[in-house]
Amino acid sequence: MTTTLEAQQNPAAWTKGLSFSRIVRSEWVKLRSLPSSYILVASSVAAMVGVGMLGAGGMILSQRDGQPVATQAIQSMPMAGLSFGQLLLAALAVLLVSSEFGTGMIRPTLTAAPMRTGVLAAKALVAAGIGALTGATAAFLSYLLIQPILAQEDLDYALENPRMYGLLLATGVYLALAAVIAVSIGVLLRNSAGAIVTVIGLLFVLPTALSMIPGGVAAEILRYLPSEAGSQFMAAEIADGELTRLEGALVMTAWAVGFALTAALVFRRRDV
Amino acid sequence: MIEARNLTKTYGDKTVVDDITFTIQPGRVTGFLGPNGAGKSTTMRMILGLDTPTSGSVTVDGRHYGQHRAPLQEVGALLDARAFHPSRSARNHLLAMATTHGISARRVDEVLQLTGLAEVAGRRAGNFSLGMGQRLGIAGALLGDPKSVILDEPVNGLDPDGVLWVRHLARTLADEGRTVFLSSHLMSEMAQTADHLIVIGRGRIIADAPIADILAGGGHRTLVRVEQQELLQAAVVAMGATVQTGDDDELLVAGLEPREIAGAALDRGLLIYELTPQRASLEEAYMELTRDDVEYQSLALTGKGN
Ligand SMILES: Nc1ncnc2c1ncn2[C@@H]1O[C@H](COP(=O)(O)OP(=O)(O)OP(=O)(O)O)[C@@H](O)[C@H]1O
Ligand SMILES: [Mg+2]
Repeated sequence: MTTTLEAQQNPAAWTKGLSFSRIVRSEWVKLRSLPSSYILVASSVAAMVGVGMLGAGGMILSQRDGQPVATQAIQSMPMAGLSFGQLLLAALAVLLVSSEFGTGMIRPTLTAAPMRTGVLAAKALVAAGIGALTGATAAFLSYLLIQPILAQEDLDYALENPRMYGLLLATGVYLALAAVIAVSIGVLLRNSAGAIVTVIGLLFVLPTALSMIPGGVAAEILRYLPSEAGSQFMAAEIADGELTRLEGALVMTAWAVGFALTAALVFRRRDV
Repeated sequence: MIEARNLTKTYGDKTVVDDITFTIQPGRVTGFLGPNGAGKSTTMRMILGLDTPTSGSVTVDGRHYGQHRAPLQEVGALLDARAFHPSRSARNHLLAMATTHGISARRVDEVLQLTGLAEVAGRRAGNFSLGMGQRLGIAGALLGDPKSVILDEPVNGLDPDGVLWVRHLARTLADEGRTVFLSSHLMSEMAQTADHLIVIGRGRIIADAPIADILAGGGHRTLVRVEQQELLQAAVVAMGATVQTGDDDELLVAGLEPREIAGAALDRGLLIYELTPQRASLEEAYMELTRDDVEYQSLALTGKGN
């Protein structure tokens, strides 16, 4: 007689156990197994490169009209499309989370990995990674593709010093932080449409609206919005009275950390 | 083994699971039966830590689900047949889950094979039928070769073949010594699958017993045809029975053995011309148990003709 029944374990199913790095890998598997990921990354890059090339074309025309273009403006061109490109990438980051709430996939996800902070951190990390890659790729690609255009008026330039590489890389950092904010908003709102609209509002509509309001208060708030603070660390030149690169980076980072912490607190508590 | 102690869940001011305590033993199939809205799914979500209990606790092999080092090896669960991203393939869906635990891709292919999804593993899961979604959910539940398996209405949407397959699967898993916990709101389904039943109604446990006992419990009635029925009625009520009167000489007596009823009639010199023990079907036993605990009573559709 058998007195105790032991569940017989199948060798093929032997698990190595749950770990943070495996949750990150799992999130990566999820990201790369959705066609929409490729579409959003590609269109984000295309938007940034496209706007950069249009801008470069505009500079050529202006130069031909006898209006010389400032060097800083030329050197900012690879980043010019960021305000559009970031929205597509942010949508991808939002969907990383909100689509799971929308489809119910969040339950299998949290059944496989019950540590919620870990899951959120993994999602934020994957989103930040894809953001960094997308941002830096788009900036370098823009740089390369606008040179032949600028060359028509001898405006082309070489990446001769580390600072110029830094500007292009900063685009990646900016998108990584924006992606963390977007993931957090996805967690907080859960609803895809609502979260995407909110992210667009924060990163695009709000700064645009504030910049149209005359007066010191609006300008003061504007300076500390993530998009504005973030653009400071990609700025080719810092004007007097603006946030420095470091300050800009710190403000943007504070936004991302603040959003992520709030999202973690809420995510840990809420039923799914 | 799954143990719930005074488990309670309220949403707003509505108590959905009300202070329930139960133990689900390994090595057998435990059915979780209750009408719509009884609190079955909520209880299952609490077992997995997806919903936090308002009070009380539930553990899996002595620990909260989330405290296990390899949760997928402890419990495999199917909660919702549609809980996957529609644009992701079935295989990638399972691969993502497996990756969290370092479970091999070979095991993913194995469970796809096992659930009959190997052919469609590369297709978007969004195009799956309800039954295929159910199979994908079961595949996910089996991934970690878990010691406990929790399936919320697993036969929902399955064809007859699929239903048989789930029954057989549940039996096999239990025979291997695993804890198997299945919910349903259909008694007939449970009757064919479960060894043990926990019946829940309005968040409270109504019965927690081997299926045979539940059957016997609901079936303890005797149909009696007797002349001067009111005399016998008074007699058996005095003996503690509950009685429903029917047409003519009919009585439906609960709570007494046929022999005791016949004895009472004999004592009073009453002529009995029928005495039939009524074995209630499982469905009736269940209706009996949950009659007062159905959350959503259906209204009778037939109007009274005047
Ligand atoms: N997140 C929630 N917020 C508010 N009420 C909820 C929530 N989840 C469940 N409920 C309510 O709790 C009750 C129990 O729901 P539950 O899904 O656990 O029942 P069930 O026994 O699984 O029913 P069914 O057989 O229909 O699946 C229902 O009245 C439902 O409306
Ligand atoms: Mg349910």
